[in-house]
Amino acid sequence: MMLGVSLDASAFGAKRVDFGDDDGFPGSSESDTGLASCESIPPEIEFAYKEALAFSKSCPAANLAPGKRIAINNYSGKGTPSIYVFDQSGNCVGTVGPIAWGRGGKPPGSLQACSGEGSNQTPPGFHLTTPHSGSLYQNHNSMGLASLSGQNSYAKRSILIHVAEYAGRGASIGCTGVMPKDFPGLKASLGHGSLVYNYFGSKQNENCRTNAGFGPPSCLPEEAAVKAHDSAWAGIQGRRSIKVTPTKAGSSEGQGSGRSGLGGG
Amino acid sequence: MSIQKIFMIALSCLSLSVSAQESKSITEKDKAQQKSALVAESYDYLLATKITKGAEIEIDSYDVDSDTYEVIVKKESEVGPNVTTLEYLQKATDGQAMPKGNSKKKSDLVGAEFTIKNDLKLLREKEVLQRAKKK
Repeated sequence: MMLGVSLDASAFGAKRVDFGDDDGFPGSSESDTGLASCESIPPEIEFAYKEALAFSKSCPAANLAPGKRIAINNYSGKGTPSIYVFDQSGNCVGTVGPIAWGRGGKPPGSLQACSGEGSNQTPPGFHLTTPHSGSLYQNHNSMGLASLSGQNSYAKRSILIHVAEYAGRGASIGCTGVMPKDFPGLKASLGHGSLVYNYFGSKQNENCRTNAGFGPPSCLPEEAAVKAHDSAWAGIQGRRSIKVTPTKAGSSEGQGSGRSGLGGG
Repeated sequence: MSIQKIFMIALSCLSLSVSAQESKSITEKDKAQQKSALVAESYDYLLATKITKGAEIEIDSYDVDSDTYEVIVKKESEVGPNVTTLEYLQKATDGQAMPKGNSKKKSDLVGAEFTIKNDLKLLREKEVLQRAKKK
């Protein structure tokens, strides 16, 4: 029996990314407390989820501990910028939005990504949530975003997901901003050691002086990401040690497939 | 009573009923909006309202319209925006943040760096907008 969601069913509000095979997982899951329920999953989010899952399997530092989540920050320009939170089985467990992004694009406030220091833009690509305690934001109102593909988001730029009253606009200086009422639920759902994908679609940024985070993802975790990974796995039976080496992580499983895997393909 | 009168009475009754329903739904909608706003405000305690003492800051820019400064925390250079006033800057620096130079313009402080001795209070976005409107 096919439990996955077909293209037709997706149009009626699918809550699960379909992998086209009978994996025995339920068709949808209840929303996490404090998150808005997933009405439907847009195609670009399905695509991004598949990329994220493939990366988590190919990059040792992105290998998620049980219970950790995959969050897709939808900055693709399609739909309102928002966060889709999935479990590792592809169930969408909730959404948060609108969210804010960096103001440094041209024109100011436009949805553009860049990992450059001082760019005031949101870094694209994969990150792990990590504890943060700074002069402005602490653990109760923020999570650090430690980069996995050489973006140096946390160590160099202190890129965070934090509470912001300007959610829905390009008004931060690189961080992802969420409305105060949305943050507790998001924090409870992601915790530390979850994968966050700042997804800007296929858009590149010719004004950005670094390509880090764009294109096929490389596995170049910063120190904070390795720590977040190790902490998440600490105490888990059969804990694996990771060997952090820069490798090309993009596998064909999650790249360029679009929706081709849907409906039993 | 003519049929016309009966029709008119029925019509006005119907109209009153619809009007009552509409006002009820508007009231409920208003209440729901108020409740939603209150719930949202109840999380405002999570907003970052200050930079804690001991932080190294740099004055990044001065906005004439709102008479405010944007500051960056040196070790968290891309966290913000952090908007404050000259008064708050002076409190946080024990008076060190003073416009200098011949002109003593407020914008002369841009580029200055301080290690703050007291917490630096920040303005909320709506406060900045209010200040800009007053001018």
